[in-house]
Amino acid sequence: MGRGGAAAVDAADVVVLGGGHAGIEAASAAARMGCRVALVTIDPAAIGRMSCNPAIGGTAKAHLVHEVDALGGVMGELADRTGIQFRILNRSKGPAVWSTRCQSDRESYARCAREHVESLDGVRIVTGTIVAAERGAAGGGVSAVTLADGRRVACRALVIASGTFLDAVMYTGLQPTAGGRAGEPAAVGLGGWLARAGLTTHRLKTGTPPRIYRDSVDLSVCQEQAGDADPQPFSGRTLRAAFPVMPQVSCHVTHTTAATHAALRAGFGRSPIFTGAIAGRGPRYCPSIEDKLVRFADRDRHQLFIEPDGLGSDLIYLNGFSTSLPRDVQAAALATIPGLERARMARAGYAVEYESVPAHQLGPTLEARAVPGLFLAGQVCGTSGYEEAAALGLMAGINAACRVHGRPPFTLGRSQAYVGVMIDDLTTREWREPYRMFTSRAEHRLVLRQDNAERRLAHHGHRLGLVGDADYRRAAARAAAVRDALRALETVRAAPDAVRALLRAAGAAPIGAPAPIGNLARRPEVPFADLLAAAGAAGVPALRPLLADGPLRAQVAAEVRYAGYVRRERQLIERQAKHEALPIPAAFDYAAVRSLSAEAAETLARIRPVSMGQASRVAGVTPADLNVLRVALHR
Amino acid sequence: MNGAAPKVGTVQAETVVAVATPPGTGALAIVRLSGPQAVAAVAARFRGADLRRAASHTAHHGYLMAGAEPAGLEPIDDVVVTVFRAPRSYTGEDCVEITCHGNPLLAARIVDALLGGDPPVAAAGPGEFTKRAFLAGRLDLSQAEAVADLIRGSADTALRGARARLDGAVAALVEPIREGLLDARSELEVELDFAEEEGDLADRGAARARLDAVAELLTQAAADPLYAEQPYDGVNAAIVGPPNVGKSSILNRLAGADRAIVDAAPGTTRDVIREDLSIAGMRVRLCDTAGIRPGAGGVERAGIARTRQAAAQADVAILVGDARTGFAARVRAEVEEMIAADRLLPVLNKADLVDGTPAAPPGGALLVSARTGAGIAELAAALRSRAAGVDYTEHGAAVAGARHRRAFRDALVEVEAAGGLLAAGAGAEVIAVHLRKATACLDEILGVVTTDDLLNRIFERFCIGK
Repeated sequence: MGRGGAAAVDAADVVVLGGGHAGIEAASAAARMGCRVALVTIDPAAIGRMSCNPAIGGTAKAHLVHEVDALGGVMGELADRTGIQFRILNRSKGPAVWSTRCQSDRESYARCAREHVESLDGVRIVTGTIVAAERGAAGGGVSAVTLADGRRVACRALVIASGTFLDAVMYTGLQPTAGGRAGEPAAVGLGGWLARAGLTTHRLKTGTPPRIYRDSVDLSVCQEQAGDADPQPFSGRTLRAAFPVMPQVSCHVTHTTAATHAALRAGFGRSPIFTGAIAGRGPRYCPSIEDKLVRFADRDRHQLFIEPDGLGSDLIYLNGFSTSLPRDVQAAALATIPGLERARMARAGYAVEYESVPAHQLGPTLEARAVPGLFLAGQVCGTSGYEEAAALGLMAGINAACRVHGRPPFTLGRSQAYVGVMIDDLTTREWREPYRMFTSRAEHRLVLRQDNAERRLAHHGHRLGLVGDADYRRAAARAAAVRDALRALETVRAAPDAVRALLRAAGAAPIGAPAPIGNLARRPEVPFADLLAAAGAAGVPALRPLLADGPLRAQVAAEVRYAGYVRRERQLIERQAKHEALPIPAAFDYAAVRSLSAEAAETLARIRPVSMGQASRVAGVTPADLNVLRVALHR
Repeated sequence: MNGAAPKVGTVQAETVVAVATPPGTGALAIVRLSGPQAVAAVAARFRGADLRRAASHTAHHGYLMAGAEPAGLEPIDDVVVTVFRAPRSYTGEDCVEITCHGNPLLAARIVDALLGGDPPVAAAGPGEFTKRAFLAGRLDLSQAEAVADLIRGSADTALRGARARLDGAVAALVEPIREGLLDARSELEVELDFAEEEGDLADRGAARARLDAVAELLTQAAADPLYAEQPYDGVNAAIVGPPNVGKSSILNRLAGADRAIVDAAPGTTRDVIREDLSIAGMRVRLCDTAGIRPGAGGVERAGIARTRQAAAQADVAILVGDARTGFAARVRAEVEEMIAADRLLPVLNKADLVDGTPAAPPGGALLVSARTGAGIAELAAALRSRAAGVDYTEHGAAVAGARHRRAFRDALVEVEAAGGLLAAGAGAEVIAVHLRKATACLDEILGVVTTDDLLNRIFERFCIGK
């Protein structure tokens, strides 16, 4: 560290390392907040490249995309412009778990992402790898970074969003190859600097399936899976009139067979996972096909999705068949799958093992406690998934910019956003496997929906300078429409005659006197759209927009449906707020609290919760410990 | 996952209740409440003046009522209620002290009635009143460490009771319920987080059957004989040791009556025998236990299991050996496994059978003779001084039992709500809200906060992930 080295050849406010989903959001947010940004990447042509499946969204991940969008991030707009199939998952279930998922045109997504970054005022793309950072005197903040070729870039904040590239090794069979993605080198050197700076790291692993030539696949024997007839965009800023932008296509479903399983098992002796060549932990929710065979030995088949890699691509992506078995085993197994008997691989599946910096070493702004000015985001700090990466990148970029401008940091709580749930989870626990978002991780799931992300968060995005005035005015108008409609539903009454036929058809009890439309809407068996029409919504200005605008109607219906729960949940959130927010000083000396159990003191000193709320979620800390802590803090 | 619910015991807005008087035998006992609903909670169960209008620092005579309308209220005891209005009280909050007759069962019934009443009142956690007093600035700052130590110390004592229960009966009650809830939730939630998996993941029929089973278990648990036993708020002492060293004789000597069956044949005491004593003003429940003997079988082994439980719940254990042979290493090891060394009071009996003047026994053991009564007074004094170190004011079996029953009842309400919603075809995300709450109720009994259990369960049971 120190101030040695050559004079800076370059200067920026914020340096972002990595041009993946996290890096793009970080660079974009910092630039829009008025920072000069240097985006350092090994290969500028790889900006926005999707390493794994060509898809954005899905359960819980879609919530993150909507929140990123509401805060002024770019993932939602990029997905809308390049999506070739849109579906809302869970549509038969409650609106709290509706989740949009889109198939992307891989090539277009990366191109749009790159064009976006290039279009940003204040962002310059620097080709290279960072091997070390410098810090101001006496343990001060990050002051510059050094590239592998000796160049220096002076800066005031650094966001590391290096994905799986840090000291990465790829495996197909037992043969290791250095690299963070097929055909791309690893980022070597920075790991050593992180260790010297006092950050611990551990190995994680992830995998990807083989890429297969589309013309070698017989889709006629597979089941077709089309997108929604009325595709809905992620972004509130996407013009509905011009959506979808790209032609829409189908996916297909096939499955493994007994012969597939036999062929795969024959290769287990050459599996880098089972032989122990890879020690890093992989995600249980995204298991390789060989893992699935072992863990669910009684299943005689597993579902596989054949996803188009893009409109102009000659490849398909075989979702569900992630593997690191040797190439010949992969080929033999593919030949046993209906539709893939003649499949030719363009590239074998592989696993990648990489260095990760466990996020409990970060504060709620994603800044490393050991190194002021150093932020981490995305896979490098222990998540998996494009959407998780984008959300973390956005928050890291925002807070890097806040640091540069001397503005107060920006954080979100567990009751405000999935982003808040994720960051709180990541920073208060020590994770041993890559973290993925799930709706069940959010205790306030009924309040945190994708349909209300804009209402929950757009004002933050606007205040931060990420959402423009015109976009914010439109978002505010949409929020007002929901509010007005909800009010009207409680005051405007439906006449018994007008709704009698509808209620009878729905199997619901008739009403004897005029009743607020909202009361009827709360009956789950009554279809909301039909109710509005029958009850005369066309004659009520606040309700009329609901008849034509499906998404608006869905938002209002969700509010009505969950009203009782949401009210109780909000009371609970308010009750907990004071306790949740009680701050714990950064330098608090747990060891000096005599009555704290040794285990709790040690764990708390490592995790360093910022509030009593966070402390209560640290594993191994008991209610008695919390009471002791409360007393000690009061002193 | 669920769990990120904050742990209990730290939210201040709750109103809490506990027996506040120490366990010494006295003419009067005091039940104390603190919190915003303290006055209203007592007023709802008080027949006398309208306490809601009572001024601070005023005392009112009347009756404290148990039961609920419309079945009818019945008086528990005639009491004096003293009202302290915030901030002029011990805790700085609204406080009420109910002075009743000094029978600990009456005090426990009053606590129970208030716990089941409306507005809701919670059982005070360890050191809770003192903590509140401290946080309200009612205590000297220099007392901070002492307060923290008190919380830690009494939490450990309470934990010991909880652990004793957990080792056996309570864990056996709670675990199957918790497991059932997790299974039901995983059956319902898997369809939410893994929408694209193959069709038949969510099994509502199975979830329904499981919830019915869980509801049945909860109903049984709330009525379990474990909690039917009258709560005791004195010092729990146990007499343990190998067979035929005179444990029962010592009990009889201390009690001054032939309570236990005394017989020279080893293994006569097969059940745990309890005797409530008053030793120099300290209420002590003394449990005589079956002898610890390696290789015991049948009925005797069952008795030894009960011994184990009694020892684990005891605040003090009198370890009896034979003065002629000392403590057998194996027995001592087994006893120390049951009970911490600092809670052991070693005693060598049958001093009268030792030839000549007995040597000073090792390890500070007391030398006594149950037959002649020699050393029994010293034993009583030692017992009292050991027991005096135990803080009973704000915890104890009475509160723990009431808290457990309440948790089971609360969980049952949530499970029944979930079952009703499931039958009505409601969404899994709504049903899950209730199941999450039910699990949180049980976590309060076990003192665990488990956040990842649900996803772990899903990963174990369902083949998911593409």
